[in-house]
Amino acid sequence: MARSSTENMITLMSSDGEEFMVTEKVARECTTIRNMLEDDCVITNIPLPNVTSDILSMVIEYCMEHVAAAEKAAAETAEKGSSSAPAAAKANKDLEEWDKAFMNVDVYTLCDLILAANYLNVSGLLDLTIQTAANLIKGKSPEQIRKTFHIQNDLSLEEEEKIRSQTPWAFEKSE
Amino acid sequence: MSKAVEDAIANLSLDENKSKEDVSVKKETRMQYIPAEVMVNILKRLPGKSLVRFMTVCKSWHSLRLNYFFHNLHLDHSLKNPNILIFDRNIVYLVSNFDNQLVIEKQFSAEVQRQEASYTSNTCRGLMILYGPKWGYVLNPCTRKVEDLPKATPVGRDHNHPSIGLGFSTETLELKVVRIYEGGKGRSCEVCTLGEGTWRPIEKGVPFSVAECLPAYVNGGLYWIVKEKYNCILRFDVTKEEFTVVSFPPSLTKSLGGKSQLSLSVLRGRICLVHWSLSSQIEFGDNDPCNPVIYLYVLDDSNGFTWKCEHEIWPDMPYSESISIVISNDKVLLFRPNWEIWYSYDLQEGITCQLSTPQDCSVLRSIDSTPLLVSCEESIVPVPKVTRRISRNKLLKE
Repeated sequence: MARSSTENMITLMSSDGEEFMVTEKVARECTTIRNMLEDDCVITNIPLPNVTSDILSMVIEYCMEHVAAAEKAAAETAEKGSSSAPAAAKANKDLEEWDKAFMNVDVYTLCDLILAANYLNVSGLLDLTIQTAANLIKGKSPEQIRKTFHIQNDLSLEEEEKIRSQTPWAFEKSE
Repeated sequence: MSKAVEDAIANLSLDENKSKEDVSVKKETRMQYIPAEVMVNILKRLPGKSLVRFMTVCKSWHSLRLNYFFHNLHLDHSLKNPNILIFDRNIVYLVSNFDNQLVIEKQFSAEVQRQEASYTSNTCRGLMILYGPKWGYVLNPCTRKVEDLPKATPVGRDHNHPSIGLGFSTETLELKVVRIYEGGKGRSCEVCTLGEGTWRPIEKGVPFSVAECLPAYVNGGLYWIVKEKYNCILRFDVTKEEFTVVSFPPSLTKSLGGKSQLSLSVLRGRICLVHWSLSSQIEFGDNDPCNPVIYLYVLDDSNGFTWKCEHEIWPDMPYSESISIVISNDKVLLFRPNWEIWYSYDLQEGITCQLSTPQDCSVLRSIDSTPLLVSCEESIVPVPKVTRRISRNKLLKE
């Protein structure tokens, strides 16, 4: 990507010591980093002890894609004076497709991405990963949920049976 | 954040030593480090059926059913994407897809409903009223819970079928059923606060007769279209229990008359006046004058009441005298009576699409009367119990 030399570069360091050079604009997609930059604008090197390199590279990939999409939309608006609705809708759809493909990950990576998006406060990515997680668990049984999230069942057998018997339809497999 | 879910997270065994174990084990237990607020964020996006099922996961998840705070989070989310339900006599169907074809699923039938519904109210917090001339009940179609309404005061033949609306007071947090009817002595209105069990008359009365289309609820206000020539809608303040009048948008008033039909809907959390008419009535537009047009006027209630025509839809379909128009998630579903033709219109892309109706819908073709079509957000809001003196007496007799 062609960048003017005046744009600030920031180095992000993952928990396993890998360094990632990104533009300030991309780094600012992470609210946590944006706040750091606003508190002290001379920071150029930010250690992120909670994020591993493989996850951090994915977060950066996400941020770059979304910054690029926003820049493209802004450029088109500036060119034509106003944004055309169908073009904007198409760009949105393309980005949605990209997001969808980006979410084609295993459940552990998804979980790490949720934690990283939450820690770095990337609202778009947090929303995307959480929605993906919700879609993933919505068809599961209570037993599978307990297993996935390591939740202790503190309901007695009678209590569980009683709740279940009030809404038997919710336990039927649909379609 | 929700205490119940925080408890749920607290219940998880967060053993420090686990992080020192080998990577593969750590990977699988990573899910338990999801913070409480993130967990709530996941749960609020689940369909009602999943939430009902997950009530048996553990005690704290079970307590979500009564957690007002969580209900609101879940509602905020599901309001963006309401379901379209079809009430056909005693069976309720869900329109699960209307992208290119109409897909409907049977949800539940008679055993849930008290009686075959003749009319429905609008929906509010995922609840709705189904009613006939002499009875009514509150239903949450998502949790399938029902409660009878108390008997209304005027009984007998001296009143037409009433119009019933369901609203929520954002101040007292009460759900109120508002019933407008024409009786022998003229128009009247009565209110029943859910959980109280009696109808109270509204002393100041109703300024106008209301049209037969459904009312709509938004932000503590319940709206009705006024019958015929008055060119306005009524707003009932659910907290103050008072009516005010909101005029139609001026551009709409000018174009009324001739072939047109008005209805109320909710679009992205705002009241939306849907105007369906033949374009020949209107001066502008280069479209074929024989094509129908739909204008969506959205009401901004934040600072006085101002209208804005946000969408002008030219569906590629012939005009039909009566049509049902439902809005859900930036898409409009239109159908003509007798289940002949269904259309969907995408508000983002501006494309009309005639829907194919596969074999699943054959059941709908057999319907002779026009069934009730409503857009309803999913919620696990409990249906407030109605304290009924009559039923208690009945119990004593038995």
